[in-house]
Amino acid sequence: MKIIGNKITTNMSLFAFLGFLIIVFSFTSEHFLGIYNITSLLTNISYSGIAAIVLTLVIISRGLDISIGGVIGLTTVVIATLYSQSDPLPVWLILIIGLSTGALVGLLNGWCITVLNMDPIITTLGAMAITRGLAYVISDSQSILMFEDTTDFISNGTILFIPIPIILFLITALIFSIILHKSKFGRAVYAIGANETSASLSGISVKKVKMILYVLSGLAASISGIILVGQTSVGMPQHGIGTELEVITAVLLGGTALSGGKGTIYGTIAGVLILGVLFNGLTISGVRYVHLQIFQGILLLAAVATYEIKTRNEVAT
Amino acid sequence: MKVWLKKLIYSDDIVGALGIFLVLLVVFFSVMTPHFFSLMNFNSIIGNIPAMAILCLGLTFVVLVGDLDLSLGSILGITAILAVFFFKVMHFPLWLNLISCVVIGGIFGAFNGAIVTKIGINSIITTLGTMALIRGLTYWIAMDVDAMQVGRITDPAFLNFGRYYFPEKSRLIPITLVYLVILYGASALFLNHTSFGRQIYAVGSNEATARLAGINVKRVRFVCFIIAGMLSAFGGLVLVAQLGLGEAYTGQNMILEVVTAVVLGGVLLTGGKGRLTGVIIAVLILAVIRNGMVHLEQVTDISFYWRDVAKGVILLLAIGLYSVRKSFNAKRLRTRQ
Amino acid sequence: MKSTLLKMSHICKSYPGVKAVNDVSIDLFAGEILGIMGENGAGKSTLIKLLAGAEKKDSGEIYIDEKKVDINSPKTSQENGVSVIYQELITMDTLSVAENIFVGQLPVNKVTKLIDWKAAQKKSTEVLALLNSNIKPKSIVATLSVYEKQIVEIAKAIHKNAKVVVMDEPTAALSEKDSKSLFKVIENLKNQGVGIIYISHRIEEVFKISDRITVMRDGKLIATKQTKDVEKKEIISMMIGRELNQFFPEIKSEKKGVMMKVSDLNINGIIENISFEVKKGEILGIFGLVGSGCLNIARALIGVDDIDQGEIHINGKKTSIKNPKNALKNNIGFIPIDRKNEGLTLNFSVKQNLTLQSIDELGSSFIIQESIENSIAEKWVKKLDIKTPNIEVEVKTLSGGNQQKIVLGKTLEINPEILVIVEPTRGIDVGAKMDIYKMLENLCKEGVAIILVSTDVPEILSISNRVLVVSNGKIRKEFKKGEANQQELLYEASLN
Repeated sequence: MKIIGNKITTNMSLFAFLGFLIIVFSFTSEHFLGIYNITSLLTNISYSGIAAIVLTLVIISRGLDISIGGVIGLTTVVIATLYSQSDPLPVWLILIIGLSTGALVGLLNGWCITVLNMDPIITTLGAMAITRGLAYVISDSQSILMFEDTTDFISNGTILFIPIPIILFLITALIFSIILHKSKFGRAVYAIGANETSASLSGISVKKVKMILYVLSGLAASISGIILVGQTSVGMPQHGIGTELEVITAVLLGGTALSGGKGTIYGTIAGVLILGVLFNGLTISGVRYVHLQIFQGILLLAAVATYEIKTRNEVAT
Repeated sequence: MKVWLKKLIYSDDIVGALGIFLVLLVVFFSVMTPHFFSLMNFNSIIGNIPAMAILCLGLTFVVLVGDLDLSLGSILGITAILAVFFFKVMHFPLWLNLISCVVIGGIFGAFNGAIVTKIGINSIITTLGTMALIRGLTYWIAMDVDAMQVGRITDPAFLNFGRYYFPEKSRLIPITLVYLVILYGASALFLNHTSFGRQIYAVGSNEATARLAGINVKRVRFVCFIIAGMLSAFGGLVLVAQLGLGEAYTGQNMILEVVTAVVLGGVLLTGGKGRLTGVIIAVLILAVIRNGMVHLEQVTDISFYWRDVAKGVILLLAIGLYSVRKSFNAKRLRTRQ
Repeated sequence: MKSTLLKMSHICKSYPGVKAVNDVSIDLFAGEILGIMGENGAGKSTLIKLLAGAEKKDSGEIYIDEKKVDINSPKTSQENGVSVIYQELITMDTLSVAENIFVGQLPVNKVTKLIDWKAAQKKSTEVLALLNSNIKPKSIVATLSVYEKQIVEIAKAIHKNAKVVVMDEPTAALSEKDSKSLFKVIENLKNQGVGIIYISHRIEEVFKISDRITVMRDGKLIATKQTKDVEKKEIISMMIGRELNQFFPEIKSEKKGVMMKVSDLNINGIIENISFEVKKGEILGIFGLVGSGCLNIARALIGVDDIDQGEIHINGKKTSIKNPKNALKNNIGFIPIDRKNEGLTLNFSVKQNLTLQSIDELGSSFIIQESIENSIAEKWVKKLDIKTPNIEVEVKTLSGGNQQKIVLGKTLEINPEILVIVEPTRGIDVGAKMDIYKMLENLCKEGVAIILVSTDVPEILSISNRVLVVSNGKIRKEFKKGEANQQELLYEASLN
C-alpha cells in the first residue's frame, strides 16, 4: 500500500494547492471564474500540456528531451511553408508530414541515445539547435501566414462547446495515463527508470522502449506545433522558444523525478494546471506577464525542495 | 595496439582537433567569401564574443565539478539591468557599479550553490528554477523603475569600459580582448596551478575519492557556483558597455549556446575533465560559423541560418565520437570476475 | 625485536541478525606481511572496514604504535597512517598519475603558493621507482591497465607515509605476470618497514608472501600461525570448519538426456575454451575464486557478456544468446549475483518484481490484467513462503532472504528449463537458505538443469551433482559428487 499511498498524498497535495490557487484568484479577480476565462485558460495550457504528458514518460525512463521547443517551431514552419506553395499538397498530407517531422527528430534523438550511448541532455540540446536552425532556414526567418480551415478547426473549433485543443489534451492524458499506469509498456518504462540493469536482465528491450519514447515525444511536440499554427494562423521559427523549459517545469512540479522511476500522469496534469492557473490568475489580477517567471521559479524550487526533504525523511525513518 | 591509435582513442586532448577544425573553418570562409579575411572582420568576430566567452568560462567551473548552471544567462541579464539602474538611478561611479554588480552576481551564484549543496537538489532543476526566478526579477526592475524605461547609456567613461581600443587611435586591440585574455589566463592559472583549482578537478573526477582525501567537497562545489555567478555578472557589464544599453531580455536563450560551446570544447559533463583552451576555441568556432555564414550568404544562396543547424550537428558529432570512444575503452578495461 | 605497529583487540561488530566480527584480535609488526584468509562472509571485509573507518565498531580497541587511537571516519584512519586499497579501485580516472598520488596534497611553491608540478612529478617518479614502476606521472589514469592503476593506489599510500597498508584481493583482476610484479612491490614495501595486511582467497599467494597467516571463520578468529610452521592443508581445514549440509540427497530425475551443451566458449583475455554439458535434472556446480572467470561464464550463458567464440546447444539445437531477453526466450532463467542492483528493482512492489520477467504473460492485450498479476504474485508468495505484509509493499523493505526468494520466483515464473544461479544464498538467513535449497530440489525432480556458480564451498559440494573448478579463466578439474572434500576443492581452485 505504501507506494500507492505516497502517490495519492503527493498528488492530493498538488491538487489541494491548485484548489487554493483557484480560491485566491477568485477573490483577487472577479473574472477569474468566468466561463470565458476558464475556457481560455484551459485552451492555453492544452498546447504545452500535450508535450508535458509525453515528456513525463521520457523523464520517468530517466531521459530528457530539450528539443521540444525546436520541434514545435520547425513543425509550424514546415506546415505553413508546404501550405503556402502555389499548388499545395492536400491538407491531410501536410499534417502527416508535420507529424513525421517530430517523429523523425525523435528517431534521431533515440538513435543517438540508445545506439551511441549519448547523454540525453546533450543529444536533445543538439537536436534543439538543429531543428530551430532548420526552421529559420526553411522560413528564411519570415512568418508564414496560414489561413486554413482544418488547422483553424483543430485550434479554434469546438465539439459540444468544448474547444478542440482541450479535447486533444484530455485524450492524450487519458491515453498516456492508461499506457503508463495500466499497460505492459508503462511498466517497462518505470522499470527502466528505476533500475536499467535489472530491467534489461528482466528481458525488457531497453533500447526499443527508449526509442519509442523519444519518437512519441517528438510526435507530441509536433501536435503542439499544429495547434499553435491554428491558434496564431502563422508558422514562424520563433514559435515554441522556451516551451521546453515550461514543459519540464510542469512535469517536475508534478512530482516526476529527474532521477527516473517515479512520476504520474495525474501529477503532470496537476503541474500543468498549477502553472496555467498561476499564470492566468496573476495576469488577470494585474500582474504583468513578464513577472510571472518569478513565481514559476519559486514554485519549482519549493516543490522540488519539498520532495527532496520528504524523501530524505522517508529514508531516515 | 599501435601507439598512435591508442593515443587517438584514449587521449583526452581534443584541443588539437578543435584547433585544426577552427583553422579549416577560417580557411573555408576566407576562400569562399571576399570579405571574411580582413582585420576589420576579425575585430568584429572578437567584438561579438566577450559576453559569450565569459559565460562559458563561468559555466566551465560548474561543469568541472560535475554540476550544471542554467541560470547564468539570467544572472547576466539581471546585472545588465542593475548596471543601468545603478548608473542612472543611483548615480554610482563606474568602479562602485562594477563591484556591486559582481558581488550581486556572486550572491546569486551562492544562492544556487546553497540549494544544490545544502538541500541536495539536482543542479539542473535548481538552476532551471533560478533561471526563471532571476529573469522575472529582471523584468520587474526593468519595468517598474521609471528611469529604466529608456535603458540607453551615453556616458563615455562607462561605454569605454567595453568599447575602448589599444592603442586608441589605430583601434588594434579591443579592451574586451584584454579582459578575455586576463580572465582566461587567470582562470587557467587558478585551475591548473593552485590547490583549490586541482580540488575542483578532483571533486568532478571522483567525489568519493576526493572526500576520502580530505577535500571539502560541498565547499568546492559551492565556490564554483559563486565564481560562475560573478563571471556572469562581469559578462553582463561588458555587454552593457558594448551595446550602450541594458534590456530585460539581455542574455535570454544564451545559456543553451553556452552549454553547447563548453561541451564542444571538451569539458566532460560529468566533471573532472576539460581545458580552457578547448572552451575558448569552441567559442571561436561558433563565432566564426556565425560570422562566416553571413558572408557566405552574400555570395551564395546558402541561408546564414544554416549556422544553427551546423552548431547542432557539430555538437552531436563531437559527443557521438566521444561516446563511441568511451564504450571502446570500457571493452578494453573489462576484467575477469 | 620488531615493534608492534598495529593492534586491534577484542573487536566486535554486529549487523541486524549477524555478528559480522566477533571478538577478533590481531596484531601487525613493522616490516611484516600478515595474510588474512577466510571464506566469503568470514568477516574479513568487515574487519578491514572498521580499520579503514568506513564502518564503526561496536566495541574493542585499536592501537597504532602502541597508542590507542580513535578511528571513526576514513579521515581519522588515514591520519593514523592506515591506507586501504580496495578491490574496486577508486582512482580518479580523468586525472594524471601524479595528481592521483598527491590528491588534496599537491606540493606548492613556498613563495608563490602555486602548485609545484615539477616537484610533484619528481616525487611521483621517485615513489613509483620504489615500486619498480616506470608509469609516467603525466599519464592520464583512464589509459592505464588495472595493474598500473593498482600501482598508482599503492604509490598514493606510500606517499602518505602509510604505516599500515591493507590490500583486499589485489590480484583478483591481474594476470599471472602482473601478480608476480605486484609481489615484488609488496616485498619492497615490507623491506621499508611498512606493515601489510594481505587479504586473499588464493592460498598459494598467501603462503608465498606472508610472514604470518590469520584465519577467520563466521566472524571469529580461528588462529594466527607463522607461515613457515604451517601446512596449506591445515589452513584450509581451519577455513572450512563448517559442516556439509547433509539434507540434500542426490536427486534422480525421471527425465534423461543432455539439456545444455557448451563448447569452446571464449571471451578474449577473460575465459578460454570452456566446455561442459548439463543434464536434465542435474545441478552442475561451477566453483572458482574471485577473479577466476566464473562470473563471466555465468554472464555469457545469459547473454550479458559477449562471447568471441564458442557454441551453445540447448536440447540439441544450436542457440545463440545475445541478450538476457534471448536467454529468457530460450527458457534460461537466472539469479544474478547482485540481488539489489541486478536481481531486483528495489522501489517496485513485491508483485511488480515477481512479474517483471513475464510482463508479456499478464493478459492478452497490451493492458496488464491485474487479476493475473495478483494471482501470479500470490502463487509465489505462497510457494516460496515469502514473508511480506502483502504483495504491494516495496521489496526494499523486506529482508535479504525474502528478497532473494522474490528473485527466484521472478525467474521461475517463466518456467525455465535451465537455471543459471550465482551465489543464490549469499547473505541470507538459514531458514530462507533451506527454503531455496528445497525449491532447487523440486526443480531438479521436474527435470530442470541447474548451473550453480558459487564461492560457498560447503554449499557447492553438498548440492551439486558435479563441480567444475575454474581458475584463470579455464576449467581445471571436474569432481563428481562425493569425490572431493572441501580442502581439495579449495586447493584446486587456488592453483594457477
